[in-house]
Amino acid sequence: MKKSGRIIIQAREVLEIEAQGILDLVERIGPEFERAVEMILRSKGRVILAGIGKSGLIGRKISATLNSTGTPSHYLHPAEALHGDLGMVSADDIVIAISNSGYTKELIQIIPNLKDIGTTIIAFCGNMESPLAKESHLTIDVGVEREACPLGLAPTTSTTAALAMGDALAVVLLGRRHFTSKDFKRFHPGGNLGTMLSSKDRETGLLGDGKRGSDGGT
Amino acid sequence: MEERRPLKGLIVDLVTPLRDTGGIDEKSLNSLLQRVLPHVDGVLLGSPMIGEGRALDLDRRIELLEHAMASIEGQRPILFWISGRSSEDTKEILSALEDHMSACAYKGPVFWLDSPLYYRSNRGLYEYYEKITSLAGNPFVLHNDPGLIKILDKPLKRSNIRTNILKKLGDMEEIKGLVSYGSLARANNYQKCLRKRSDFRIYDGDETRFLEHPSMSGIVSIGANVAPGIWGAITGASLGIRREDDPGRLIELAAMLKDLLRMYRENPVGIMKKVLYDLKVIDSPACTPKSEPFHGNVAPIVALLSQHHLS
Repeated sequence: MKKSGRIIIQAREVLEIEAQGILDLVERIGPEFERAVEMILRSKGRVILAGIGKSGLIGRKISATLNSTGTPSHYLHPAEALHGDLGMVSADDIVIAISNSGYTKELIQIIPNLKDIGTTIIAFCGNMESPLAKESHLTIDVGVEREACPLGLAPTTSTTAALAMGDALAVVLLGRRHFTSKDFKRFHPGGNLGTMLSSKDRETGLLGDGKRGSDGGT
Repeated sequence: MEERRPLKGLIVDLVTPLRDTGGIDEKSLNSLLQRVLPHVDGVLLGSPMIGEGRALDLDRRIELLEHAMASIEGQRPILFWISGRSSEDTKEILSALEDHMSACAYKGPVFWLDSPLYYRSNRGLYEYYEKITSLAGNPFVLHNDPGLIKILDKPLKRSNIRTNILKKLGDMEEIKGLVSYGSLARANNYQKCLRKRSDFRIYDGDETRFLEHPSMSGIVSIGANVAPGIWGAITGASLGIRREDDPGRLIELAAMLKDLLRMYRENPVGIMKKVLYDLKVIDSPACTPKSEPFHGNVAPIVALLSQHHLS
């Protein structure tokens, strides 16, 4: 087989595997997800995302999406948490802890401290038998059947699944909060999205201040 | 039927040690099991190809299960291949094995591994499993290996369990998983049709595939007969069960397993047995008449294993 042919086949395999991972969540999503939404809607605090490595990066993206869509949120690095950043957490907050294996040492270590503070812990986890799943108040199963990357060198399907579940959560919350374009513009005045909303407002006479958002970013 | 969680991780597709005079070599079986057990999560016994199950008559199968149970003592789940040459033959094997297990009151987990297309077609498979599972006290794992069907005297038109039939079979709680060989696309289709069963395991039967895109259910491995520790490390890291501190070493080990795979691919049973014999794990490299014995030189494999301190 030609080298270029093999490259395309491999790339397609990766995309197929990752797509499959997300589609599997569609069947599995259930009452736990609804409970998570209700918990967040009832909460007076923020939604705090925590994870290490790639899961940490996914946590940051979910946090950014929540902020953009009307749910105040920030990211907590579990290792830094043990060195003072736990001060960022209050009893009113909800922590979403992300770990596919559910054995991430740094994450497991902060659970007793979070419980001590009185925070509610929701796990995004791929292993329902793991310490993280067992110790959390609620666990959303984001397990996948196949990773695209070999040897556990880099999580691929599992991080994609966690990210998609985070998006599902943010979008459902957005709907439940009756989030409007005006709200979005308030949190996101920059980038193409902000510019687009501002020009729409100008057209409809809502803004009228002649300001334009910067280029780039969405 | 007892509620039993399906296993996950590394399942060794164990060779069946035989005496030169025929019959199961109990001492060698024990020695082989003691070598692999610390590294594996499950043991497949009497599989059609590597375990030479196709050539083992009912008495030999009972003997194999009996010796293995005595050696494993419930430490790891057992998968045992039950398929015969017809539906009736398979039911007879199943009943005899169930009776034997009841008689010796074995408490460890046992799963019956069945290759339905080895002895029947897709037609009426759901109804067939309704009957056969009702006869069993132990759960089932299906075995889908198109390579096995192609070597039959009269191969079937279809060499894979049809996806829509597997979807129906997925409704049966007694069926806990499937060992999948063949294409990744088919494995994906199987996964797709079984989405509702989050506890259903789809194990990779193809070692190369697992080394590239690992199934999170695990692998049924031939190479684990001779390199159980390495396969254990690779599986643990791939499934996120054990974190490897040195990813560079993991990549080296995976490359070594691919080299090993290339070396035994042509005649896995004969080569595995000869290597284990040279390593003094089993007392004879004897194979059943259905397997091609190995007459060549396994020195490169032994050298490769010793490079990694595995001999």
